[in-house]
Amino acid sequence: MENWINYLSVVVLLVGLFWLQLSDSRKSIVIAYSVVVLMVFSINIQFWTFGFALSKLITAIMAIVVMSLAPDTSQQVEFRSNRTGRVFRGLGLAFCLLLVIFTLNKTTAYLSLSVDQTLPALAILFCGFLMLGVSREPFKIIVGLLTILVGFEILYGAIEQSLLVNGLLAAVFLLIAVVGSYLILPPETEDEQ
Amino acid sequence: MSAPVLWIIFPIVASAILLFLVRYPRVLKISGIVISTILALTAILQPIGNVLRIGSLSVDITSIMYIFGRSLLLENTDRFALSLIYSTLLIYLLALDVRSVPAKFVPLSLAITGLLIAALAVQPFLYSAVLVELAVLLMILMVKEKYHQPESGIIRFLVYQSLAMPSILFAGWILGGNQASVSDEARLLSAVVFLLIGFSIWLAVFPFHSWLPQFSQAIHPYLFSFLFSLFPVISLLIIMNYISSLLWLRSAAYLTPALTVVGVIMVVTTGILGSVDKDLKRLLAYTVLLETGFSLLMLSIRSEQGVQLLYQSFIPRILSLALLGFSLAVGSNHGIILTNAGMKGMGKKLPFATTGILISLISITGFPLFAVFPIRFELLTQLGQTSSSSLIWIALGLAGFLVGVVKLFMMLTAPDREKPEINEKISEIVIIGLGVLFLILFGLYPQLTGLMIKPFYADIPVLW
Repeated sequence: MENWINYLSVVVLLVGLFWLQLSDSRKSIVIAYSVVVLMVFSINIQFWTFGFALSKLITAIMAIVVMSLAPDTSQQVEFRSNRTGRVFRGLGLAFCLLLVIFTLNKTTAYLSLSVDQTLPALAILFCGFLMLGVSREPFKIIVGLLTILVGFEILYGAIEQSLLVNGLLAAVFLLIAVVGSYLILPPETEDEQ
Repeated sequence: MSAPVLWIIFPIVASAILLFLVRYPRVLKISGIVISTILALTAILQPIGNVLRIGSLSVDITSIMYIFGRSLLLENTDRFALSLIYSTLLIYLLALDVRSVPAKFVPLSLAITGLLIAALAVQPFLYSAVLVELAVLLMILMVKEKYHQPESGIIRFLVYQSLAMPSILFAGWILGGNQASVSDEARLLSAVVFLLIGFSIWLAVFPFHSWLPQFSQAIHPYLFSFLFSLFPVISLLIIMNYISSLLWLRSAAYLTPALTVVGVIMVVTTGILGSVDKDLKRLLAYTVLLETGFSLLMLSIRSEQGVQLLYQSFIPRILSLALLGFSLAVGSNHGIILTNAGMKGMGKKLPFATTGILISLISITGFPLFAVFPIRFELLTQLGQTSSSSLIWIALGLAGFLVGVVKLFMMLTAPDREKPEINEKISEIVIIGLGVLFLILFGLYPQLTGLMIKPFYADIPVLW
């Protein structure tokens, strides 16, 4: 790592990822996701300009706020998983992180970035993919997608600083959140019209 | 004024304004028709780079527009695509039944079309993935129904398409650093793998195809046929942009076999799946897959003729899909459940919709005397000269698809005790009649499709 402080950020980030992966309630998912994006901001700020890193943080926070504003229907539909499911998800993420750590030197060389960026980016990407793979609840699937985009943006933001492309990526990020919250809205009844 | 302002910015701004009129679906429909007619006619008649004269007013149509350090570029080579895309939009708006399709269709379809054209026009072309993703997100807003919980097909569509974007952008990044050094084969290969994953998701190539039938099952058939009249066509045009822009990819020895194998796999899997599936909405998705498979085979010919054939194939492809989507929508609006069992005896209740379904499916299968046949015949003739073994597999796939169509034919015309009656409205009969007429006309006079694209022949991009 280039800066010792990043060890702390990465540890908190990994805790956040496990928290995100194991959470079932919306509140817990939102907090875990916010911790992840804050840690990503603390890392990005060392490599990007302050404004650029801040705009990414604000976009990510706005996206999760939009998602959390959608009415929660999980009281009607039971999606909570059992302990075995949590163990499976936790172990899955642990194995993914091991894979990331063991291949870190090669991937860092391949991506021509610093370890400080590669490790969090790949860890977040794997966490997002795992969420997509094992979740049934639309809310978690959308958060999984947003997580993947957060990981991808660490890698992509390092090489692409164009205003148009980053603006469009921010629009995609927010629109995914808007579409996600629209999809999880409970259906209207004909009488409500 | 620049061409991107006319064909990209104008429809997007118009769609934003039209969103305020969703309570007036008829006004929306007329506005949409007027806008798409203007845009389609301008694309057909006005060469880019020339002065457009309307009475005493003259406007210079330039090809480029700069935006935040990047540019949108529409040239005369894009005029065929512009005409085709806006004509498709016009057809769907003309046939729109405002009582069964939500009013948001009009503004969102304009915005989606504008964004997809922006994806074709953006320079550097590697950023097209982001614009396609934005269009996909608007597609989801268009298809989500107010009174139903979204089915898994819609979420699956969102997830797959959102994964395609990073894949293509990442490939672009690898290529961006390597454009000058074609000797770094390992990195180029990894870029090809990422591109392949992204494009496979866009085109629903096997094994990334499962989202398409699920998505088709989850939404209204008219919306599906509109979206998938445009999306695969524009994806193919973007892929052609990539191939023509990357010299090392264009000259790669593995490109022809890869395109042939992928095309054949798509035709065969579609044939097998189509022969066993009992849901007609899913069959609608398989027709898209089948056509995409054949489009890839046309690209694999690797000659100017192949590209011209691909451009010609877009016209009957869009017509057949529009007729199928419209006829299914008519059935659905009359309370028919769109499965083999649900459509039993439909021929007696809705004879024109039944005819529309059967004629479009028969045309897509490539039967002689129907619109797709001349293009399919030309393709297979050319393919037979280079890869005769693939013809056997294609025949197998088409036979499978035909089994599905015959099974459907038997259900639609199954005898029952009800008296035959015509339940379709006059407007529906006219639209279906026109669709059937055009499919037969294009089949009887194959030179018609050639004549339609002849004005653009000089501008069609040469890939190989």
